Amino acid sequence: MRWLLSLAILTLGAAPAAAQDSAQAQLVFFDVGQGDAVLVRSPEGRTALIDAGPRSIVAQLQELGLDAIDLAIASHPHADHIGGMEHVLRAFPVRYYLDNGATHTTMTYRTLMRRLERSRTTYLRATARTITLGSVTLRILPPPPTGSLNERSVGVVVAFGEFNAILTGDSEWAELEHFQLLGVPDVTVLKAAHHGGANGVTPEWLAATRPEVVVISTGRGNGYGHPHPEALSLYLNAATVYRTDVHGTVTILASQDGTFRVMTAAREGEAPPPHVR
Amino acid sequence: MSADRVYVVDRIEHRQAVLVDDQGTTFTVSTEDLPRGVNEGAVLVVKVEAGGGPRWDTARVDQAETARRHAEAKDRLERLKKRDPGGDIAL
Repeated sequence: MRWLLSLAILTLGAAPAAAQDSAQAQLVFFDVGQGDAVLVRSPEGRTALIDAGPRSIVAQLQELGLDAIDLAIASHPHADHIGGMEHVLRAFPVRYYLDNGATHTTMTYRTLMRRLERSRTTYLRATARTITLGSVTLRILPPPPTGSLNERSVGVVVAFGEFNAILTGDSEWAELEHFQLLGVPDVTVLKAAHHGGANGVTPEWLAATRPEVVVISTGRGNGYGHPHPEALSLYLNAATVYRTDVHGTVTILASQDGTFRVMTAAREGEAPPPHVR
Repeated sequence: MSADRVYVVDRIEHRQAVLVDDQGTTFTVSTEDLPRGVNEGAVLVVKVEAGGGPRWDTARVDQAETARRHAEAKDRLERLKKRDPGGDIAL
């Protein structure tokens, strides 16, 4: 059984950046309050930032020792996903930038895109393409051409040997069906779509992806009811669940044989133990 | 004494609109307090009283500014797309 191959450890009080060794890939789900920001770092040191939270995450990236970003992806242009992206473009050389091609009218979006146009960053469309970060590959799942901004979130499958993760921004039911039609693998880690909202998960989606770990990125005391109790129940019945609002920043260190460790920034006594199947 | 200020509907979550002003500050407002049928991306003009907050009941959609911002963004995106080399990327 897949889960027997995996080793999940909750390390309370650990420094999330400390333990990556030269053979491991790293996924960091930053605690950005109500929003999303995820860093993928290959064993070779190549980096992809998928969303950048509602405000600057430059200090958190610098704490990880980064001085450049190889690829930045904006799943969709809502402020809780791109609010910190212009800060990233100002602070770091960013080689490639990919988004869903949907425009927005907020100053947050306009300032970001003006900065992008002035930079030397190469813009990439969210076509069905593979982006290789050393031994880690990102498969881009193109969004459908129409729908709300949530429903046009870019999907990303992160693959590192036997380890897979899937991130789908703020996808709702219709887009999850769209991704299932495109084909999604069994995954080790699933980022809960739409911050654990009720419209970001279905039993069919969990059956298609079969996650061992679900990470919910949401803010403490958010006013939107994230995560929704029904969605949380589905996740808890399917996988071990980590929440940035409870556990703080969640770091996953993965090996090519599919084994992994989970570390959180929560202080001892603050975080409840994760649900374990 | 009041002045007009611009707020944009960033997104709508469970009948709450998340508005962003041009300084990047966010406000969460019930959609019932905004013009009926307001959508994400709508540019709103709202009266703000001196020394007070925005009066959401005065909000009106600025259709021309909404269209202008979308057109500007599409033009910029078309220019950026020309940088895309196409195909898979190896880093």
